[in-house]
Amino acid sequence: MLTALSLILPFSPNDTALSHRHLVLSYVLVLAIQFGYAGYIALQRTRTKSK
Amino acid sequence: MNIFFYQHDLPLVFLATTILLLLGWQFKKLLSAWLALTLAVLAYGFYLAIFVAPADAEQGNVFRIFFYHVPSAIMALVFPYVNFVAALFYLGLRRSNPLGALKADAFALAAAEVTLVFTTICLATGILWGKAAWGIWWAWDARLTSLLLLWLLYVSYLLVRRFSSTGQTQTLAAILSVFAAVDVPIVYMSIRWWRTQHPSPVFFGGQDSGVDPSMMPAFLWNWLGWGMWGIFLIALRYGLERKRQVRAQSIAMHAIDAGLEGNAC
Repeated sequence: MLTALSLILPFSPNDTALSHRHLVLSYVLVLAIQFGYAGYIALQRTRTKSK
Repeated sequence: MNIFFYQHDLPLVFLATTILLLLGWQFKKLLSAWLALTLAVLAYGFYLAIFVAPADAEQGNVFRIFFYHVPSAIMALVFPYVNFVAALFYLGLRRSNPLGALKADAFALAAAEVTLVFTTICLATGILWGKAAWGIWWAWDARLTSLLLLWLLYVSYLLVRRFSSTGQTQTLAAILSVFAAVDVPIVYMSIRWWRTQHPSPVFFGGQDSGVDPSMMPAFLWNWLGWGMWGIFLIALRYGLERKRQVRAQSIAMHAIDAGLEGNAC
């Protein structure tokens, strides 16, 4: 995954600098939490609608 | 770079936004229009934060966490007051206007969940940044500890909502909202009142505070984007909770009707 990200990011997440990995990891975490939560609510809304 | 777009683009952006929201309103898809707009702003904010804003002279690229850590922190301190005001409305209306109180309670619950989401992100990204910048995951300083307390208060709030069966659940939760509202100014002022491991205030922190002007567009667009996202989440969650409330009321009414018919027989 880090290799794939290194193709699109302007810096290498595989850099020896630990900080790059932390930056990428934190962004992945932000997106996972925010969109995971929104997806869960949307799913619950659909289920409530269909009952 | 202009703080937002170049000046001649700004009226165009404003016009496109207005048209999109009016179309959404007209076709009863306001939430979808709002989501489309939010995603566009977030994508642009991401582009600015990762590709346009310069790396920090001291911290390098890990500084870019700032562009969503700080907006998340601001939302984590704003939405508790949405929750607090809604809880006050619930407490004020619960005897005189039960329907209004139910709506206020749904709004309070939505704001509480979204606050927890933003507080979790603020803590998690702060921890990752701390490991890279300080070499440690956590420090028990005033800012981190008071924010952790806010997070725990909202975890407690949601646990009370989920597991309490006293019939006073909403009232107990509203009281927790008051505690959270008291904690928020402490979180905000902690880096002003005490010396902390956490960096000193970036904004409203006196003469030495602030970021380089070249970083401001990335910050402002991300702030706007995550703020719009937070409003979207609250609207989405509020809609779900109202549906559940209406459904629960409907089931209760059917049960009463069935009971009355049984007694009549």
